[in-house]
Amino acid sequence: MAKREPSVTTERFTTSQLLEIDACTRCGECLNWCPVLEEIQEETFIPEGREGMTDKQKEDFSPKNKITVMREMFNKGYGLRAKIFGPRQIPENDILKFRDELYHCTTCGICSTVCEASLNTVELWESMRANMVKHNRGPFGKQTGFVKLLESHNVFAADQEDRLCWVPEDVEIKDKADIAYFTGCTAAYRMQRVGVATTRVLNALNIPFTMLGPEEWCCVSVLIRTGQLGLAKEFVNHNVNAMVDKGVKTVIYACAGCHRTSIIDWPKFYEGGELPFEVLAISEYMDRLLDDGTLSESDFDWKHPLKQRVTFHDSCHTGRHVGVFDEPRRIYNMVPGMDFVEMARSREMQRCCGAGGGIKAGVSDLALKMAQKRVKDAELVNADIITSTCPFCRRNIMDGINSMDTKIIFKDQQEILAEAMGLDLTVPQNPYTDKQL
Amino acid sequence: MQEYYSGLEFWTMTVVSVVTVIALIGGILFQMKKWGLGSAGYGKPGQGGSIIAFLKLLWSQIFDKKHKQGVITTLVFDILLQRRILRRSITRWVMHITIFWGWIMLFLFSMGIFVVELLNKVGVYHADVHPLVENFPTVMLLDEVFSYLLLIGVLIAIARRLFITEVRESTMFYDVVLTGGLFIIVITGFISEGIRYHGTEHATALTDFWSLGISYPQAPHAALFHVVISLLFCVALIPFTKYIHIIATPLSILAHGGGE
Repeated sequence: MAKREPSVTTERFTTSQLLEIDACTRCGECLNWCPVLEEIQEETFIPEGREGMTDKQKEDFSPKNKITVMREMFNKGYGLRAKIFGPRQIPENDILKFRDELYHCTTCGICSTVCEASLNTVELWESMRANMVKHNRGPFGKQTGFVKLLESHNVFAADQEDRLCWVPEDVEIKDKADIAYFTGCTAAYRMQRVGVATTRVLNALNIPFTMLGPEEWCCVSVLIRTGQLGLAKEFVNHNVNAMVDKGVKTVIYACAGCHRTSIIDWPKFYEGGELPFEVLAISEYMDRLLDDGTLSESDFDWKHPLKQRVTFHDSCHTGRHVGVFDEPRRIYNMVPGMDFVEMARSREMQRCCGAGGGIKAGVSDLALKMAQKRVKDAELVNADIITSTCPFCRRNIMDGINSMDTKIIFKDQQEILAEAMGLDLTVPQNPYTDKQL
Repeated sequence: MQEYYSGLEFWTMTVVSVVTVIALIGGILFQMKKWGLGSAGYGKPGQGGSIIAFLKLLWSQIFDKKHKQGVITTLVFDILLQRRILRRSITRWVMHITIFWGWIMLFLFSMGIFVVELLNKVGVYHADVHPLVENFPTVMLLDEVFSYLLLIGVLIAIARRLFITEVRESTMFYDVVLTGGLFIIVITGFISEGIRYHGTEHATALTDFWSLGISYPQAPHAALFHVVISLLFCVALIPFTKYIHIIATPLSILAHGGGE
């Protein structure tokens, strides 16, 4: 008789991650912070097929319970009893139930921030998702479409030749430069105003930069977040090599998702290991130039003071995941006239907007509820504008705003800078003009 | 019972200790083999249960130069002082820090007494001539202090599981083994100490309370019971129960540079 295989294998987990699963003390702190669990507990969102859950059943969606289930599943396959008597089989329905719980997560990482055992929960969820995909159990809902979309090398199945179709004629982009601006799919095809603002600001500050244009492929954040790793290596190597070909030493980002993926995930897939260039959020780069004297505040040449109350939504990706908190605030605080105010939950304790981790595509009604909650956070501090450094947060928060009766508007950091500097944000007519979000 | 002064019958204890050490080391090796099934890096193939591979990756992560704080800082603030718990909940921090230090210090004292026992056995130290209580009053006092610290921590843990609804409802057998095991060990420890002093010149109202009225002749049996279940519950079962977090959690914190 053939030896039984464990129902859930350890594939896609590192040795340290398997240790981490046993390190969870089940203290329950993550239950106080998980934004998805909050929506489920308040019943503002009910997962499909889970109507009428008891309070205890709702906790199945908590980080603590996900780790407990992972530990139990691995022990059934690899524990002492399994070694002696063979792996205990887990009903496929139980695994699929867990799969659904696993994918109801924005991978915002607040559970990791508050974890007593310092578990890197985001990486645990992503490894488990990759394991699910490997065994044809994942991903979830519309997330299955990402791979097909990326055949075009961007998440909108758009023409790669149009990558720079939004760039105004008078914006100067070098063929080769030390600095490269990685636009990201969203700014290139759906939020071109952010792209225009970023390039205008860089030009105005006399920072020479290059862009990859059609050679810029998706950063593969959507694939990695949902466990679909098949294309990751090809895309990462393409992007890194394209940067090397242009002689780039520093890549700057106005998209938090691309930024996080490049700095944390790309080295895992790049065949050369460590990236041959530096990865920085654009605010980090500006902060550095201000520190070393390359830039001074007067270089910004402010034209229009912003006489509004502005609150900053730290994106999970650039904030909690990468640890960039002070630099964007320094940039905002230079804008004349701005009344900058913090929401009750900010910096590393920020509340996720709900867009990440494949939730926007996979569980869009949950994403909307979370966005509404973040808008309410901004209303509580009487903000006129919510700002961020992430086009994906922007998209979801704007969906939240549009579904509510609120006067708050959203503006990207680069838009705020460009407007205050009196720069022209007109986006040239292009095939995607009527698709702008 | 023979050769009793600290409560132990030498050969019984030797056998139990050997069994405990075998279970502990064997269990840890088994767990490390399980952890070693993972890969050396994201997306890489598994390593077939290699203990060496597990230790290698763990070592490289602990001493990763990308950590914002040094290993010593992490060790002192995040493990020994448990700063991460303190930031989130004072109650949970008091509970855990008292259990942590109570457990560690009592473990060290027990090891010390075991060494004295061995010295007595080989005739280097004469416990009957130099009883521990008279010769090491500071140690005995500290033993008392850390015992009560442990008791306070365990009682808070039990109270949380009994009286905080959400904690009670999410409690499972995995949690009960840890808290329940500690409770049994700490209570039997106090009782065996109470019996040991009962009717002697060292007896106090408190030790008489813990003695449950049982007199000194029963002390060796009570002490033996306490020590045997302590070793089996608190040490031998570490790799196979929630006690594993005693090993896994500090390693996880070190591997992530304290999570900062």
